[in-house]
Amino acid sequence: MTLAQVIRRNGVLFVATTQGIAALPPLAVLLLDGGTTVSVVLAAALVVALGWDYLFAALRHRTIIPTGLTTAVIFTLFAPADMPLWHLVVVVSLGCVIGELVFGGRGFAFLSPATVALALLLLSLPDATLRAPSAAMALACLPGAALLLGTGLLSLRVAAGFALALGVAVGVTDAAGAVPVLIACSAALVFLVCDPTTGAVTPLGRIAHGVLAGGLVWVFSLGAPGTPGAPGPDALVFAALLGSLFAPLLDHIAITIAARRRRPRHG
Amino acid sequence: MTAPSPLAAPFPDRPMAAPAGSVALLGAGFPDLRIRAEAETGAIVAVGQVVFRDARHPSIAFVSPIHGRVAAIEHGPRRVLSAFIIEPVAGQQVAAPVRSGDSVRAQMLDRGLWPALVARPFGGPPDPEASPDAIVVLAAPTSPTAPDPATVLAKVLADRADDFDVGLIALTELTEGPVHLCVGKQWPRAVQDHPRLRVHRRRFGRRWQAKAAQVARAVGRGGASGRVWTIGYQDVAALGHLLRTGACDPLRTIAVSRPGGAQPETLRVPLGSSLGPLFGPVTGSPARLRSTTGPSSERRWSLFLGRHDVEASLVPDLGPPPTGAPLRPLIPFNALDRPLPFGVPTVPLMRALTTGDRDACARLGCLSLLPEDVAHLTDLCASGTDYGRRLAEILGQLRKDLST
Repeated sequence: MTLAQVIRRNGVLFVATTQGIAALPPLAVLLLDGGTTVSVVLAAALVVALGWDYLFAALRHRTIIPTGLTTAVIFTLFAPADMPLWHLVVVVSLGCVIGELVFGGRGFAFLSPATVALALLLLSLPDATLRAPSAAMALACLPGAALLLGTGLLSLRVAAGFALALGVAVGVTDAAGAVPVLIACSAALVFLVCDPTTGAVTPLGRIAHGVLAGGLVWVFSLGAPGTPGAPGPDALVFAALLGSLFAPLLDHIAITIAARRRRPRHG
Repeated sequence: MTAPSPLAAPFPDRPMAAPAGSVALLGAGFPDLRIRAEAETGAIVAVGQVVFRDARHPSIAFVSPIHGRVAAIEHGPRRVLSAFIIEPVAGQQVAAPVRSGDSVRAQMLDRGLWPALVARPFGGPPDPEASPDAIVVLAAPTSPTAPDPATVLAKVLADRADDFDVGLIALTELTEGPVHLCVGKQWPRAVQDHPRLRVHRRRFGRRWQAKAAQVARAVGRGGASGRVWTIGYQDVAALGHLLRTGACDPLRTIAVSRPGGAQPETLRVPLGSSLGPLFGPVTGSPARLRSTTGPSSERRWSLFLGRHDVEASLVPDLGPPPTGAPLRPLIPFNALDRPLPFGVPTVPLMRALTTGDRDACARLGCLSLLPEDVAHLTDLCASGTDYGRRLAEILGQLRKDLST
């Protein structure tokens, strides 16, 4: 069975499963590091996200597609380990419901629920600081990135546009300067910025989407504390959110450009 | 009814006799074709005899590809032609009465070759009065399993070398614009010089040239905003044959792929041949017959070969698509990044087709495309939308808008 046939048959379930598998290695690294506190966050996020999935599926008389699984896992990758549980319940609920389920579920929404939940966490709870990925976690993202690339769910155009824009903006000149930036961006780039269902969909739009997100990361990390040059996770979350928000506009511009090129010509 | 004898070699040195199965002139591929029958059920018709005419344009005649008896005339919804079935009869073949004007246009109309032309936009045979901005002859290989046009002309039509050239030059009489010939690098023949004849050669690797891509290459991305007619290379040879000898050539070379078969088999069969005899008795898992014009074309389940089809295959039946299920989302994975021919963005067009947004489809350039150009998207999409059928509906609406 070809990849296209698998995707055709399983739809969003395939997307959620692949994304979930891709997120397993960094999650394992996190669990080894954080132990119980991370497990509690993960368990609570899973219960909340899957609970909303089940509730909406029941109310709509549809079969349940457990896309909340990836929402919870990706949320856990960034969530502060010491966050109060009621904060978690509120932001994950809002992320799942207003970010995804009110639009009809994964694939119909224009924002990734994990990104929405993290952005809400940062906006409504100013004291919260997201987890910056460690070098081990960044390395653990690589197999997942390869899997998503291989299945066509991670757009190389978005990733390349992002890396190019951020590299130019931060002023990366050599490999030594690129490593901390790459580590800081790793998980956010793979799981938030390059979300398969909420990005731009035209080739040109995808490059513009990546460039916009990369540029915004630089803008948002201006003046932020931390390693100079390496963007913080909150800058990455907001850049991913705005990138997805502007993706339809970028597509529209790309389509207009394509339509301009289609001029009558015979001969 | 006897099964055709399979050819030993992929390409025969000489054309083989047509297998004696029934044939059907299908309504598929001719949008809203309503007919005025000239032969009633039970009538005996000869090869090349007019059996019905297009009710909207009565000058467009459809002829019988075999000597046989009209077995059935089947209509679909709103009296649109579904199939005009002719079964073979033994006995003396009566020569078809020849009654035709002198011009190429009149000959094509009266002798049943006008339906070989496909008009863009909207598809189907063009208006008999109209003159296109350009004509594109599709002679590039369209798929790894379809017969290679260069080989067909070199081997199967070897003794009719001049037919293709005569047909090609005759096409220049239909238009004041250029006639484009799209061929692969292996094209065996020198092409005649003509001021309005342009040849587009291209090497083909793993990417086969879908029909729309050939047209886009020939006329440029903006070409389809004008009127472009396309015609297959075998129909061009048939046109040349008609003009040179006055005889109708209803045989076409097609490839037949059997499940598990190593190499597709090349057969020379009448237009609209029944697919059943080509495959013989089918055993094992449920399977359905289908015929296609190329890899990226419409995948119709069918019992007969379509007018423009060059491939027939037996594929596993995966059962009907789920009905009544809620719409599933489209997954914009990377394979859908590549734009359709004419630079039409793929995923935006799929979304516009799914929601039935006519204006958005027009803005995206759907008028350049035919349903067969987008049908392959159905196989790439998780939503279960039949994009070929959706585009046919949208094009029908746009056509109605334009005519009012």
